[in-house]
Amino acid sequence: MSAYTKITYIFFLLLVLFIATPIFAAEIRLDAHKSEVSSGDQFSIDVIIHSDEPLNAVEGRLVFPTEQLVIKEIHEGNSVLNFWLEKPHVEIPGIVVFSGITPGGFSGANNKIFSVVFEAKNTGYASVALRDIKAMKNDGLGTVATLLIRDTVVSVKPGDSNFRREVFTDIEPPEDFTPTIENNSSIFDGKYFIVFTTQDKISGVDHYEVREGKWGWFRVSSSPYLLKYQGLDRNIFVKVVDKSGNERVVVLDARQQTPWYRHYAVPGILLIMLAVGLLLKKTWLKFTR
Amino acid sequence: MKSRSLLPSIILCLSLIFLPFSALAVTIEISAIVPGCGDGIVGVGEQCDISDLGGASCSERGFSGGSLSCTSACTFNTSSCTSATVSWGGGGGGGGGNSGVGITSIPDTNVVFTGKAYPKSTVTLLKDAQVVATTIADANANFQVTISGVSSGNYIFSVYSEDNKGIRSSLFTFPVGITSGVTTKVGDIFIAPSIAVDKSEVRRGDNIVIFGQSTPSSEITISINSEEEFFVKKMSDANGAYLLSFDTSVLEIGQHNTKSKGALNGEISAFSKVVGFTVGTKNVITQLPEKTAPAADINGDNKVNLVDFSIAAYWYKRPNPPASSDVNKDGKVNLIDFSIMAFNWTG
Repeated sequence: MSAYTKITYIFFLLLVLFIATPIFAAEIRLDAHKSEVSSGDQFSIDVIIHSDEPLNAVEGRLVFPTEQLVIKEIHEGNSVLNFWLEKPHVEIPGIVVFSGITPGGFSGANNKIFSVVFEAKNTGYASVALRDIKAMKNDGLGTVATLLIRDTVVSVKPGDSNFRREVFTDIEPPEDFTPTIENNSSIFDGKYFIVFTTQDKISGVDHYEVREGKWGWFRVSSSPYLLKYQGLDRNIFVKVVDKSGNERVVVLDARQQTPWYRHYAVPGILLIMLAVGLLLKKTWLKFTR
Repeated sequence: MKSRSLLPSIILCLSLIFLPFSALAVTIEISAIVPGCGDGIVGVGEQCDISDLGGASCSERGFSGGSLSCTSACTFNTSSCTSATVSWGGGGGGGGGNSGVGITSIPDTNVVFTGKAYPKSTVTLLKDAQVVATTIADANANFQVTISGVSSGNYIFSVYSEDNKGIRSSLFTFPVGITSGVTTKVGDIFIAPSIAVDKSEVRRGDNIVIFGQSTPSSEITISINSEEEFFVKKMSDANGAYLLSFDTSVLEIGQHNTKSKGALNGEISAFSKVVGFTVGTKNVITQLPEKTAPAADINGDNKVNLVDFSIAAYWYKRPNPPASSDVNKDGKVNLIDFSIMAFNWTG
């Protein structure tokens, strides 16, 4: 083969390769903080998205081998997604599902969606992959963006007695927020409900709790929350707790102010009935003696 | 006789009592309608306005606590703010010496946004998709908003404005990393022009009017998207208004889009919202966008916010969602509906 033929061959090969390589404007990848860990070690993998054009919605699944890795924590604090349709969670062993949106969209490099802290178990190569990923362009039409997906592999070596941990420190409560009372015919039969959301930029929001009225217990709840007392005559307390246990409570004032004694009407009547009953019994005993 | 003589005195007394109150009421009414200082909204050149402190607090002004208020000249009144006093040592040992020294606490984290919108328009600032502040741009369309008490972390801020016809701009979105104890300044925000058309369908050969508002005396580039894309340049007037009467004889029959962007002193805005129109066989006058509910406004309050998101999220992947929650009317509530909602978000 002559030098000219060789150069021509290489030129056309490069041309074909260049044309065949799809040009992706967006990429979603897994960034492992360590490529090699020891059995028993904890390490993080970040789900990162990069896009030249604005995207506003992302969903998908993160798949990992349960015989080699176990999830210790999931952090969605500081996520580029503002509202979760499905907060990253283990749906079935070995699969984390997630789905969320960013109003107005986002673009640029190294936007974190969430992080997973794994603990390595058995030795070998642990392949962590993204599946069923879908991202939407911020174009008002819900157009699906073409994404390049990059998975990762972590090598798990035999462990020693010195387990390494990734430590998250979070002493700040979640951000302040304002719940609002709404009613709409399309949900809860038009009854009043409250909507609320906030963020915790460090460890992420763990859960919300709601209490209606001054007394009683907080119950774990989510937005939208159907109000038990539709008269809107009680203050509503919404507590948010982050994944490090820091909490914040906000109060939504009652729309209808009820006289204080009406809150005690039922216990008051019961108390009076009890007192009357005791009095009657005492009188009856005195009369029959 | 005695009671008759008392009557004028009583009327006189009552007049003297109530006259100052009636005068006061008139004063309040006037001050409420005069724009600028005293209108209750922080404008350019004002630190605060009555109860609107623009998100400022004593801690943001370098104090440890207390209550910040506003003077009649629209400047901060810090007389009720308190300073942190840190005691060093306390008498024992020889290394103290700073006992009782007053040290002002470190200023709180805050973010200052400046940019251009439309003259006298309302500018709304969103932090992670929630409204955190609104302000009014001045006559030259400049605006400034300060927020404080923000935790450190990465945020997505968005700004939008409404023009003099109530037409909303597109969301101008940008990520900002906030560091605790540091004032972050975000400048050169240039909100895209508002845009509307006078006809939803135009007879081919007739003119379609494309109009909107931007910064005064800025160069507006209007794109009319066909098989061939047409670009027309117009100057906005002193009120920022622009108008283009475009001859549609150059356009094919079918659906077309238009959008615009502004340029001033070397700064260029992003493109506006895209507005569609049809070139056909008849003229159909369209309503102004502010009179039609934005797409994904599920509860019909002319806003797209957390309430709409919550209602749609309730029906996410559930069977038989109501038509109001199904934004693209495909019989299911899925990520596409939320993507459309995210695009039309107003907070």
